[in-house]
Amino acid sequence: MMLEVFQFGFMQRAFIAGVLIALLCAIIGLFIVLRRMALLGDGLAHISFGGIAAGMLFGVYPILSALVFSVLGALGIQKLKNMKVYSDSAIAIFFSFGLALGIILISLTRGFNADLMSYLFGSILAVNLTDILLIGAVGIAVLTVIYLFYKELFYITFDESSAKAAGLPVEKLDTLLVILTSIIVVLSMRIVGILLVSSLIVIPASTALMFSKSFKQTMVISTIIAIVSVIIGLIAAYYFNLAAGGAIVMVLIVIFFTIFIFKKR
Amino acid sequence: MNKNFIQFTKVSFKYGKQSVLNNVSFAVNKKDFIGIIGPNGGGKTTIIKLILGLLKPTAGQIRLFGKQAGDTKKLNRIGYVSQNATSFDHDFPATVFEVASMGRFAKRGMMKQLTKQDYSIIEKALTDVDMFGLQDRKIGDLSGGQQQRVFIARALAAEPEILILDEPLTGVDMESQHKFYELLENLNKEKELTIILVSHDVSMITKALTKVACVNVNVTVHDLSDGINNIDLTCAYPEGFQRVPHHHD
Repeated sequence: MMLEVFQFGFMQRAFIAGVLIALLCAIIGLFIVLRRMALLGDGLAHISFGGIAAGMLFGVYPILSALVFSVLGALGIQKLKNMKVYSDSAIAIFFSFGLALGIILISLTRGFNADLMSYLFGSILAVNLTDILLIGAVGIAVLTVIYLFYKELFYITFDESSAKAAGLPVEKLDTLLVILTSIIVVLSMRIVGILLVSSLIVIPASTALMFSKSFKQTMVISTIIAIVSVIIGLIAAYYFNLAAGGAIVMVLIVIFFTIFIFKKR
Repeated sequence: MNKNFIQFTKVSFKYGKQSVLNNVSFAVNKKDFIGIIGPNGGGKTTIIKLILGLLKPTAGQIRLFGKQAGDTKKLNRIGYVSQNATSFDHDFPATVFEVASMGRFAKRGMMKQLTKQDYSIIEKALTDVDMFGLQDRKIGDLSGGQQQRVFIARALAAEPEILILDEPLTGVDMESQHKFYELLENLNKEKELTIILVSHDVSMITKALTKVACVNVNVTVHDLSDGINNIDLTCAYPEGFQRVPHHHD
């Protein structure tokens, strides 16, 4: 029997977007987790929430306004960090700022609507052709940048002070990493939703780190875990009529704890 | 070709009000193998950080390869192993080879991929420190001494003109220390590599050194071409320190 799940256009779009997002989140996630910035994704997602609300209020394509908010928020976090605010505090400050702004803007549009819910929790049905084109184009651009700066990002993640002594522009590379994360967060929220975006960044990397030996190998394992989880999650969401984001994250959690328990013995 | 690699001219450095280096002038020339000794807190590591441009002098001038220090483009001509190289996250997923390869990154340049030539230079560097057989091991699983050798290989992989080692033998066993000095002597004599070796331990002075710089707020440089017997190294001890004869068991 041919799986009917692959025959529908909206499911095909969800699979294409989902696999690309999984790839991006898993790769950036390894750098983010190892740099002890696991909450960055969550922070940026909440800043994007302000952007979504602003887009809806002013009639702008919400993904675009979210992208602007997220990147500006990323730069703001970097600015605070460089001015000696602790990096987790800097994230927390922008996190609340984005959320507060979003709530105010929503109250101006007289409450929640279904469209907003789809951004908060993610939705397969909501992924349209514009979204796919945007996720595809921006996603491939982001992947290319990561590929080009892979060795530098690896070096600053391992040891910032040696990277600096070797002449690498550590602060600029750090900012690049945070900006790339801010873009990936926005691309991902269409499928997994604002509230669950950071799990796709943090859990695959944390799971892969349990096997860690080489950096490349950890990145490959992390990517495989993310892609498998997205595919299983989407299929489960289709057959059992679940929210895709929740289903994907549940698969990630099951994989994480299965390996965790297995490894402990 | 200018033989004057590093030049300190009347350099002073203060942390807040505390004077760490005072009116220091000295030069490091091509082919020098200079030992920097002195008590802890005497300013040895500060000198290194000033050379690398990680700190700026409060007064005076530092020139590196003929240009004002702080130009990051010059840094890929230096191989550097910091004092706390081995205090990285030991769970970090990186192999010995991956860590050593970092030495090529700045040399190859941003946005460029390493080539086959880079890989053979990395292999050579690992072979030089006797770590090639362990290249696929996770760096955090090695002993402190082995890790230290990997970081030295990383510095060598940059094919530097100056090699700077800050207390490189912390946690390294005697036999490896001996081999390590032989390696440095070779690099200095045959490859004409300029080496700066920092240590708080006066006994690390070997016949291979060409100069010794005593650092204790002030810097005195001794040329070792006439042997090391007649020079005054008391600067290397804290004030009021009395040399006590060693009791060997």
